[in-house]
Amino acid sequence: MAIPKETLLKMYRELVTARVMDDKLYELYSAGGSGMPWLHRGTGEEQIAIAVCNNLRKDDYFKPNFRTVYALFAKGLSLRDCIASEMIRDLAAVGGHYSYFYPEYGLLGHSGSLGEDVCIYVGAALSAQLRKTDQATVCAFGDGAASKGPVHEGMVMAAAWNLPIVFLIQNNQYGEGTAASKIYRMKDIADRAKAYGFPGETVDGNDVISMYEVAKKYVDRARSGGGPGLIVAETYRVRGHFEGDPQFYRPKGEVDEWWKKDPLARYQKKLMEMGILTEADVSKLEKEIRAEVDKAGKEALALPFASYEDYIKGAIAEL
Amino acid sequence: MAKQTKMLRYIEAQNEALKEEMRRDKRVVLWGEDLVSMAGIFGTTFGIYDEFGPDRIRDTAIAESAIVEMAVGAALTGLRPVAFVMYASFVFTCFDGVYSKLGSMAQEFGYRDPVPVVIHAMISAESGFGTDHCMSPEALLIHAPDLKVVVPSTPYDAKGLLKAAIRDDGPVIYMPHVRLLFGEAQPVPTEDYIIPLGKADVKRKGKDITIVAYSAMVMKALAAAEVLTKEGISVEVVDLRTLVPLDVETVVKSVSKTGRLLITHEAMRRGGAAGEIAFRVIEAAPDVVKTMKAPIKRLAAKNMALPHGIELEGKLVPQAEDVVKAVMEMM
Repeated sequence: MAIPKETLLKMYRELVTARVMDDKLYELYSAGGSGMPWLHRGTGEEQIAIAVCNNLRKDDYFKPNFRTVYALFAKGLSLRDCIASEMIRDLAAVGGHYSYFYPEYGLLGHSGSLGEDVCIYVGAALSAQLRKTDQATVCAFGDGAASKGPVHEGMVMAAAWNLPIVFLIQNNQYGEGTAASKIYRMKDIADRAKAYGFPGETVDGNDVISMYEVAKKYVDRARSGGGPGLIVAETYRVRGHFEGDPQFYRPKGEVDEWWKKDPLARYQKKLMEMGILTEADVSKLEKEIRAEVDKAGKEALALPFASYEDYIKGAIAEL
Repeated sequence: MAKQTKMLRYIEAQNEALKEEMRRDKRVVLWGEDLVSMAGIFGTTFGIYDEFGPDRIRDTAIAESAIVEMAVGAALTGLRPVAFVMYASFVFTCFDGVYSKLGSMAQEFGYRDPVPVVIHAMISAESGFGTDHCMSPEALLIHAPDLKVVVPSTPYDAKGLLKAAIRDDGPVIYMPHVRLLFGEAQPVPTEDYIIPLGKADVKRKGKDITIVAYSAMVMKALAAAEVLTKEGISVEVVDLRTLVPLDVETVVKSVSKTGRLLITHEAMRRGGAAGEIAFRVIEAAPDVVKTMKAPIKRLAAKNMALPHGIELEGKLVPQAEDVVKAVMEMM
């Protein structure tokens, strides 16, 4: 299956944008005063959300791993709104980077108590089935959240009703500070799918093309009535759990090893080998994107904070 | 009361409410444990599958978190689910879904869209099934920022409040009481009606003392009022019907007249709703409270887990006799 050249280049552009966004958010957070209460960086995991989004329509439902919400411009959000959401500049973002609540883009928010949002997306898939639309749902979460009870419940119900949903475990090797290797006792986490009676497979989540192909297979299958599936995307969290995490739990040298497998560098090399990207394109593109993200950052900073007056309109009884 | 009525039991009134709302609005869908296979165990969903089919009502696995959280996802995407978690004390198994998602998200996440979800969960105090089935969780639920809490006591109220809950654009937890399901049939209007959420109902008029109650405790308060009449004490019984919103105004109006207030519920006393209700009265009408003939009193279940078996459970949960005794002490 050949991926169209335009799609390959679009994903490249998006991946570069995501990395620049990641840097921008770090810059805004570090500077202080932007309104960002915290930062959980997803550096090096953005390609998973991007590869998925390139297989989804605007009206499909998608929950990325919360760590990579700033890549949701790949689902249609503006760069400005992606940044503003982290900075609580809009009522849609009162939940900070756990929210990203934009139903018009199929984005139904996140849970700060990890794993508790999975069934919300199972509910969206059920809703699509009951309303007889052909909307697909992709619900991504980490290897940490995957241990939560509601994830099991959601998989049981998705299987029982043959719902159009793809579960995506983004195994970045750490659930907060605890290594996945200390929790998982099987070689292949995708084996879990067998227990629910739907297919599952593990993919190199740092390889954009493999990730795209596997996402396409499972999304198309779900959309055409084939039912749920499980993708396990192997990746790595190169940053701490949160910005400021001293990371005492990390073996020396591990992060450096993973940087050698940087998905962006790998993808760039691949596209160059394919002859569809040149050094000149790369530097031109990076310059363009930095300018775009800088502009979006300035626009986001200029937005007012979510207001108390607007917020309290949501009260159902006395304050 | 409307001109045309028919006699319905509480459970039949709820069944009618569900069917009528499902006919009125195709977006209303039901799911939960054994709704089709066992008609919701007691018969609440009897006949609904036959009329509406599998796209409108489904049996889930025994998976309360999924039941509740799926309702959030479905409500955000165009449906109006009524999700059944069987017993109200099962909300403890899915409390993040009930409290932090359904009961907070709409505000915390700043929804610009409505979240029309009804959670149907049966209160079961004094059924003898023990803590996991019979603890009354309503005090924990009123503590959620965005959850309306409905606790009906009669067939008329059950039908009108359930219909209002389904039509409400926000999350509502509707909690019928198992012991009321098969109570006596009472007149219920044949025409469409709803009871607005947040309107208490004076179930009995009196002048010496106000008893505030809800759910099955209303029946015990009414029974106690009969006994107290023979003692020459005239009791007014205010049925709150919903705990959120709380109709403090009706309570204050009653207390202004009677000068005495007893608040009673089947839930445990410590941290129970009675404390909140009392304080709301104090805040709303300090002048009335100053002139009261007796201090505000509460009567609730003992601060203990509920044992299996009615014999022992009945000694922990307040009875009509306990209400009589409490009132006498206030005279």
